[in-house]
Amino acid sequence: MRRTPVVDRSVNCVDVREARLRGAELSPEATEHARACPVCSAAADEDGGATSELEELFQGVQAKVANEKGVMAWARSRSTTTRLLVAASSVAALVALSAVGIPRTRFAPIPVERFVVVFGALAVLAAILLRVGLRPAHAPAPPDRSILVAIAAGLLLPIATALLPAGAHPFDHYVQYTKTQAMVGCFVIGAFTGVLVVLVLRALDRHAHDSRPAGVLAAVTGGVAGNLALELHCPVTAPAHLLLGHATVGLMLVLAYGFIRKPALER
Amino acid sequence: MRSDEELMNAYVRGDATAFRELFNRYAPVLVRVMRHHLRRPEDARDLVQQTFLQLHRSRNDFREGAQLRPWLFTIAMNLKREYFRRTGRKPETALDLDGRDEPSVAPRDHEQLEAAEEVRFALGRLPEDQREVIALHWLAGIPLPEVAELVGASLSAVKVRAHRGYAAMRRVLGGDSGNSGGV
Repeated sequence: MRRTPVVDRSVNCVDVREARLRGAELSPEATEHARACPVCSAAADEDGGATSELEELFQGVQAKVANEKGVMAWARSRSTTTRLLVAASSVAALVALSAVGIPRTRFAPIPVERFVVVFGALAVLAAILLRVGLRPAHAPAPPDRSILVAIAAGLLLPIATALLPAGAHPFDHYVQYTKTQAMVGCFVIGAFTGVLVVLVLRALDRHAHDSRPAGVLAAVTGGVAGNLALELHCPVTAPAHLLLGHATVGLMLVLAYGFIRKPALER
Repeated sequence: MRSDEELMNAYVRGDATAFRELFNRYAPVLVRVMRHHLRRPEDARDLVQQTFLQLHRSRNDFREGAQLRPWLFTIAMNLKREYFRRTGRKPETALDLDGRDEPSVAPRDHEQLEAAEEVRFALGRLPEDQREVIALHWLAGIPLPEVAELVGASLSAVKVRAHRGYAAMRRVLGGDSGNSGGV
């Protein structure tokens, strides 16, 4: 291997690079080092020699930036605080809609302790999922394990809550519907809420993160939002109904996302 | 000369020339850093474009008092990691770079070209964790405390990686005896 010539070691190459990047004037020692050091002078030439390629690169960036038009582009360029507020408000509004439309109290008294535990846990999880899903591009990426835990929690919490004790007022079916009809009805309401939440989240997503986990996170968040809506709507506390009609919402949204993933939704 | 932060604040307020100036300031360094991690130059260029696109999309997150450089490099490093996750590939060494797809540079003499190739060769031989630290510290000129934030490791861990990486590079570049230039 060829040996590089002797240069002034009191000056660090990194200092020279730093000064060049900042456009600062080099000290006499650094100038001498940069002149004598083949690595520094080669780096300087490389920096200055790729003008045409950089121009081409900038044209590409400009074209991408010019394409940032319309409501979606406007939405995702809002600050992260604004995007989180919009997402949380949308979830709250959609959940409230089901409570206002067909409230649970119309069918049966609410088992307060159970309701507080389930609704509270789902709401906290929804907040965490929104925070993770809409994290800013400049924040250090969380470990893959954290994303997987968030996804697993979003899918498993509705299952866990389905198995909780029914409380003081067990209610296992609507009087006017069969158990199957009630189950399908709940699934449709949950899935409808969930799909709307997924659409809102994808519109607010800057696509700075890998699209697959981001899409799955959005689907899981939609599932949790669907379960929140059902918690305000459905009086049934029977585990079979909750497992098949409620807990499946998130799972089906994840599967549906996997099937219909379109290039338009991707980066 | 306006600082990075002044330029970014100007861009947030709608000054498009500030974006161009930031691009001119950081794109060469980002291209260089990305190229030492990715085998295909077009992937490196694409990630640099994505970095600036994300800078544009995230502009309203930039707050007074924040520093732009760690901000920008965190975006770039996140995109790089997610590139590897998306493609299911492990970070690559740059050992087989033959320079054909490199930008057209005009080194002043043969010695400089050789030195640049040696640096690339030496970097390519490092383990990924050391290469990432050295690429950010050496190629991008980022101080080690800032590098520690970017790679999500403690300062002492980053110093160890840098020390080992530079020592390995010195050996490869033939400067083990302490009288060589550079690095």
